[in-house]
Amino acid sequence: MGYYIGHMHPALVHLPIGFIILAVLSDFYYKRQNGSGEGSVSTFMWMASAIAAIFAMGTGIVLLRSGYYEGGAMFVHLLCGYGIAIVTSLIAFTKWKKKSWFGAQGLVFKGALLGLLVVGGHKGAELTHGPEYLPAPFSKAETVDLGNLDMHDTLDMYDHMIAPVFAVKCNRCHETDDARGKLNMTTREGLLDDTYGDPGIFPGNLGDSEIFKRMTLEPTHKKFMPPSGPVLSYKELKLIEWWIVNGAPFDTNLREMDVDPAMKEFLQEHYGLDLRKKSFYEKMNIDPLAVAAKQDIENAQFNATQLASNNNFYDVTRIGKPADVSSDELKALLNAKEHITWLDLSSTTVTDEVMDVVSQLPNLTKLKLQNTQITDASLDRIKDLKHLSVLNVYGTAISDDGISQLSGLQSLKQLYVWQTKVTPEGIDKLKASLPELDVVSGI
Amino acid sequence: MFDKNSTPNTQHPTLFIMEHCGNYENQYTRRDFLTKTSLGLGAFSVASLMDPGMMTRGLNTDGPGMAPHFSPKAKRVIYLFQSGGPSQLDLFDYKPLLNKMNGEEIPPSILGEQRLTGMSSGQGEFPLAGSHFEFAQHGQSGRWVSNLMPHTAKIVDELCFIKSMHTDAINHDPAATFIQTGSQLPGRPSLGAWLSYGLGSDNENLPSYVVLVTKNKYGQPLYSRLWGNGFLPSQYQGVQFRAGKHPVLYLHNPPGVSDSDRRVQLDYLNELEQLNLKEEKDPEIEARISQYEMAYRMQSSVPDVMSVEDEPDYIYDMYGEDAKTPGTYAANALLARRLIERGVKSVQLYHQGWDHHGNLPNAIKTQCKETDQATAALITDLKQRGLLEDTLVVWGGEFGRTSYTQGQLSPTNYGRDHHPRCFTIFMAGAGVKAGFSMGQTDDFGYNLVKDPVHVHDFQATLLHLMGVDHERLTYKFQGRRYRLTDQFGNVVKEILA
Repeated sequence: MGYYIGHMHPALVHLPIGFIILAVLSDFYYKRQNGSGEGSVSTFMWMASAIAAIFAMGTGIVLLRSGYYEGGAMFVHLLCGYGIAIVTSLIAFTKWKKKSWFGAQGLVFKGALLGLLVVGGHKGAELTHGPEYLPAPFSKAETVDLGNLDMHDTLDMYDHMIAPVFAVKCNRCHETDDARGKLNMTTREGLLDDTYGDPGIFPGNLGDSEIFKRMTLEPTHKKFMPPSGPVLSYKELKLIEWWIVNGAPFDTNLREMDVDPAMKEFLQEHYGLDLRKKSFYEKMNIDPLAVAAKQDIENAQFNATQLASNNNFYDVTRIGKPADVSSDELKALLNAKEHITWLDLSSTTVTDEVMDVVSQLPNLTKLKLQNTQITDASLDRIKDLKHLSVLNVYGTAISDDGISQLSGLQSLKQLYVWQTKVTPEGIDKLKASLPELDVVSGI
Repeated sequence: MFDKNSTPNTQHPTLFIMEHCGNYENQYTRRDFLTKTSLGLGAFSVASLMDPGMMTRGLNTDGPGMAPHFSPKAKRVIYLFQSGGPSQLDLFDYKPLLNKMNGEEIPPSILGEQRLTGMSSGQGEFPLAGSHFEFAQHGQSGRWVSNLMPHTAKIVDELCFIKSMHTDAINHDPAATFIQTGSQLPGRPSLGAWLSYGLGSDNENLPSYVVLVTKNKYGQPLYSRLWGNGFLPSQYQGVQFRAGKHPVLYLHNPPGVSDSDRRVQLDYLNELEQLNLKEEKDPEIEARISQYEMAYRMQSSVPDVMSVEDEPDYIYDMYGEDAKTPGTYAANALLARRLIERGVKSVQLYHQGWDHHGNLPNAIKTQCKETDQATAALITDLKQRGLLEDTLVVWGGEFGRTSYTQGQLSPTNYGRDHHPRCFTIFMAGAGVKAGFSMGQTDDFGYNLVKDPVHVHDFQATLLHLMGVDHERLTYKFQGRRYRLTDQFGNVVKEILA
């Protein structure tokens, strides 16, 4: 029962508001007309107001008992409710008894009553619609939340960054059914439609793109868009500008695009989007290595460490184990052919024979063979490791002939040749075919 | 008496009661049981209901010796700790205005209401002191370095400066404890201990955290708790290697004890400890067993690391003549490289004597002479060996120094007091931008104006480079989970390469 009564409150609460305002206005009017403001009509109106206020109050208290409403706004709303009910009843009573207690019919009381109505009513609206409801139309640019952009592996410029902004700031009017100004901004066809004149956007041409022009006019200009509601923020305009300048693509993966450094920094700073290039092993996914395979590698005296808990590739080293590596031990590495991405066999006894195994590790990215017995012949065997990015052969017999065989390894970024027979000429020659390669030759 | 199959002596009433008092027969007490079941399984199931992702990303990561949370950029770290608070204003943070206004009072708007130490807060005046050292831009990156550090100046293109470091502490011990353990109060695990605990060891024959302190230096005292394990099991603490005949104390066999005797002794000891462990379930017993075993292996691995005689002459030329004298900063820097080559995860050097309240111009010259060449040599040496790409080198102290003089300002002399509001550190190597500088101080070198980096941010970044999420490496102690950065810290993305 209380549930039904309580829910009548929002309906009943508007009755006393109307009654009271009418009573105050009519008192004011008749006082101007005949100098008094008294009369049976006035008394009736005040009585009706008091009864309506008490009813509203009663249902309000029942609703409060539901326990759903609490907090500062509720407290103020409740006080105003009590105040309105009490003051209205007081005025009604004095009218009925034709008394003038405490100047109850005076302006002060009536003014206070109106004040209570405004505050109490506002707080009531805040309770039902939330505190942002009323000031919303007055708010300036508020940036649309694009969520965590970094989580998308395929990051579509339009779908993930442009469309959500249009959806909030433009599509209230420019949607399929309404399409105000004959512009539908919800689809690619709509944005590029030129049947009624210029299209909304000219891909690659910012200055002629009507929507960008309209968004960046003086806000007081009559053609400024959007005409009402929150305008576009600087961050959003920057995104839209960048999208149009880049040809307004509708299905691209941003992670595969060449984004200029300034924009990269902007996206990092304002949208937390990290577009730095990730290494091969961070982009690739692979099934976990079988426990037995890991065991075999460890039994062959290698340390095998999973790269990370979210990455199933392995880092294999010989650190802290015997420097003498037998060929059987080396073969154990083939148990994790696909998984080994970092391999460190430095300062061990391995010879060119090591490449029999290494050349079969297709996902190898870092190979450390410094201070071993390898020779020029060995490097010919790794030219098919198409993900190899770091190669360390310092302290070996490698010479210019050796490194010249790496010229096809486009993935190679770092080469360490300190204390080898490699000469500056050999390095220059290699760098001619691998311009991005960084060769560290030491002092 | 030590027979594990013995049954309680029911025939003898006194013994029976003794055997049953104190719960020592019980492997699990009621409390253990409740903690393990309710907090273990129960908490886990609730947590996984609320956050389904936890099942896949949490399980094998929140224990010791886990895989990193994400692919690491750095596998190892060398922290060159400059104890005492080196003057950033005389080394890296060039402030020509101080020379122009030398002797003038620091403007009140710059000084502000900030807390000063008791050593200079009583001063009647705070005259600005311009650096006596010449600054120049170096390398392609054009970083400013004073003529105190000619060798470091040559490698600035490898370095990543943070000029906007700031800390909460104003005195040495709290500040050093803060930057090493994340708390100004003693008792928390140090950075290296957290890394050992979280990431385990890459070489089973050496500790994963080694500490080297420059010999015969004086100044602010260093306590072993700066590299301690705090509440973590004790095998994760830093192990100090000393200069001289016995780098690790009590590691060698006493005269008359052979290697095989020692092995037999340890095996028996291990058996006893295992019995003890079965009864007590105290993780500290496991720590002790593993430390005994580690010590045994270190009997051969440590002499190998420490035998620097086989280093060629050009290496000594690089690190400087000092490197031939064990216990110097240069010798320790060289050792640091040898340790890193052998897979030690964290190496921490400590060099005291940077606390220049007075007589700064002379004292700082000595400090730089002792450290500059070896620091630069270490970074260069790591680079030519291909180790710098997965090793992070950090250089820095616990706080900075004031731009006003402490004590008298004379044409030849000045001093600087502690200054926690800004200081400079630099890093090099794995995962950080080379030839980069982050943050900015005001023209007086007194307040930060751009990109402040708090000590907790620095720690979070360091862990991030090692593949560890600083919010997820936790240890439960006294009823709550602790982490290195406590409840603070943000990874400084700007410096990541």
